[in-house]
Amino acid sequence: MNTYVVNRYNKPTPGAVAQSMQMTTSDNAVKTFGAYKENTKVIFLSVSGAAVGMTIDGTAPGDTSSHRLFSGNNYYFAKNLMQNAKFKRISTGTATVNLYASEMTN
Amino acid sequence: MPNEFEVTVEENLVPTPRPGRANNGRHFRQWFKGSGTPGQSIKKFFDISDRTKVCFLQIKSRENNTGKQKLLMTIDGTTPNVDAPEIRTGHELSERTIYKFNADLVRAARFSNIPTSQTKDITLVCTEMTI
Repeated sequence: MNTYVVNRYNKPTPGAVAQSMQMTTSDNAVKTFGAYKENTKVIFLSVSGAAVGMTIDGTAPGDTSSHRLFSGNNYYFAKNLMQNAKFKRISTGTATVNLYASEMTN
Repeated sequence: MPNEFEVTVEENLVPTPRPGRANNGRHFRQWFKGSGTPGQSIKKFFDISDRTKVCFLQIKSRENNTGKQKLLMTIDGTTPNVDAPEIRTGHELSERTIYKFNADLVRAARFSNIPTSQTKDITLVCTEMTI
């Protein structure tokens, strides 16, 4: 019998340096994070300042056509998802968006 | 008898307090200076038991848990940057939430207050758990 254990409490990926992304209120660019370590499984993403839109299907995020990630929340996403993720500031936001992503592994 | 191709998925959803620990686990506190015009204070948890697998972290303050007090946490060995949002680094942790992290993550983590927004003393409580 095979057993697949899901580790819900991942630890930091050794040697990985966290990535951050900022979007000021005048920054309407679509942004992506850089490459992740090969052995990274999960990305721990924090949003602060203001909400941001995210898509994972290759399209550009819009205010009404994206997943909205809210300020003050932390999210866990698979690395594969984050490699395809695009981010854009919600146009009505009044503060700088700050995204901070740490790499985790099992 | 189980089929040899059967796959069992196990998820450790509910950590339990460390056996033998009083008060449902071990609590310890590290205080962050919060009165007047506090500066940045970096704290780590050095004394988590080797047998601990999961840590519950919670911020408590004299704000009566209004959710205003926050800390920044980095886990990559860098120091949290608490300056302007444009250059701020770290995961934002706030009151009202119990954060559940791998103990190795907490051992590596650095916690910082945010002097520009901190109005009360903050206690970061760590409870050691096992799975």
